[in-house]
Amino acid sequence: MSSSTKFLTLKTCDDKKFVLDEAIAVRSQTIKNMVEDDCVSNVIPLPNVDSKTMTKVIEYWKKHSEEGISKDMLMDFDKAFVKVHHSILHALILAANFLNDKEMLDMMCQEVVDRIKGKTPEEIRKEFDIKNDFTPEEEEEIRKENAWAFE
Amino acid sequence: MNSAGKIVSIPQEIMFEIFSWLPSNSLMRFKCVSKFCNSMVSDSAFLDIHKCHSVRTKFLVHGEGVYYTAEEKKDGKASASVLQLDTFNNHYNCNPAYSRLNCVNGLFCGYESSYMQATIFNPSTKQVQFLPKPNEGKCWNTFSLGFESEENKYKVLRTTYHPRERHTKYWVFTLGIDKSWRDTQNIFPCIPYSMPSVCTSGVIYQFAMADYISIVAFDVKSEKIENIALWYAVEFVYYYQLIEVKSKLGVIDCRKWVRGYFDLWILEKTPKREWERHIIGVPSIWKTTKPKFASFFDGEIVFVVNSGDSCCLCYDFTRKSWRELKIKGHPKENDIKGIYSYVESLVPFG
Repeated sequence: MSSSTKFLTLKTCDDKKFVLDEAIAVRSQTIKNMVEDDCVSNVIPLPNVDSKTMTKVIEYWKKHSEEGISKDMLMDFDKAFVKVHHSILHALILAANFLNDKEMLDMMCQEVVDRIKGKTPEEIRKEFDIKNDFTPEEEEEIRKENAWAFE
Repeated sequence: MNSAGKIVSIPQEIMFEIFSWLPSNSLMRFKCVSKFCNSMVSDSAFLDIHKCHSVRTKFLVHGEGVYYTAEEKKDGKASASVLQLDTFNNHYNCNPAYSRLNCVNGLFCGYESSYMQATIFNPSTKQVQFLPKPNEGKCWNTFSLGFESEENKYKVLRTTYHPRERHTKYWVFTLGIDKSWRDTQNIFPCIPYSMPSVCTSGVIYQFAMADYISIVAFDVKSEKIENIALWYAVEFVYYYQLIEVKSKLGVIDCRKWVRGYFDLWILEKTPKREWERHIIGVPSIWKTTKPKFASFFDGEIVFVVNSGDSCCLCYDFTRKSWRELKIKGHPKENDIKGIYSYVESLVPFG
């Protein structure tokens, strides 16, 4: 490691600290903006991300910053990376959104798309904690109009 | 926040993003999840983004008396892939599979030569619109769907051949605007053929018989008619098929298929309207399977050959290579009459 490497300290909402190479941390547009605006004297607080999620994010950033890694290897890594419980997946999406890492966010969203496309409306409500605010009559009406999509 | 496995709710802007990548049948199903989901799926900004994301081409396969929708599945080998069929006729309770079909930009127009009425449908949303019945008595009608991107309008061109006067009148119905057929004041001394028309770059092309066989071009925006001569005097129109090739009009002639090639004539966009001939070799193993129908998508000309495995042969126009496309889920005794590609669009019409 060369002496010119700069390190940043990230602090998650549960008060855990992560020390990370700046070159890697700026994969986050949010962190990059902070660094460029020179408002990172010591510790960068990440009030929307917990340590468990941040560990995963850093694992992803490090892999994607490895020198000489092949496209196939990255694809295999990504495939395995998204195979997590949906609560973790959702936490990672929120983190990627807050950190503004478009590449990571897109990949996570694509995984959600693959997981939910075959599901029923009930399963979607459960998955995303969405309250059904239709009256039974209203819901029935919309179901009837799109009955073909339920086959 | 999430460590106990508790569900973390996703903000609406990310729901928007996720939903914009979903296939149309999932979206139509998720409309009843909540009021937010329902209004999102009807929002025009959402529909525009969804259309951009629908990069995977879908297919409409036209069998005898039946339509299927299909998606291409790569089955490992680069040379062969499979179209998995999904029948959807029963979704159109009152809509038989019309024998005449043409399409543009995600919408289809079906009609029966013997029957006066035409139908517009969107296979992505299953939306159907029956066009008004023409007022004339016994006339010979054809219907062609056209689209022009400048004003973003779909128009249906109806030709009505009047046998006594020996001329054809041209009528137009703009989707979402017109309530009845509009007379374009175009009268042309010809008989239009009911073979599939083609619409590309805002122009509908259709074979017609005047003193000789030619192509009538209808500009969808200006509603002007123009006659385009073929490269020589063609005697029998059924040897030929209109096709769109890279936003240009092409005519395919498969008579020499058994001898190992076919002709593709492309109408160049120069003011002189010249036809350029392309002679394309057919691999000898497929020489005996004469194609029934051809269409163009994603840089490939797709021929329907109906041999054994219900397969199609695809010719990549740029790479000059051939591949096989198998069709799965289609009864062998039912020949495939046509195959059309479309990109899913949930934008309502009419």
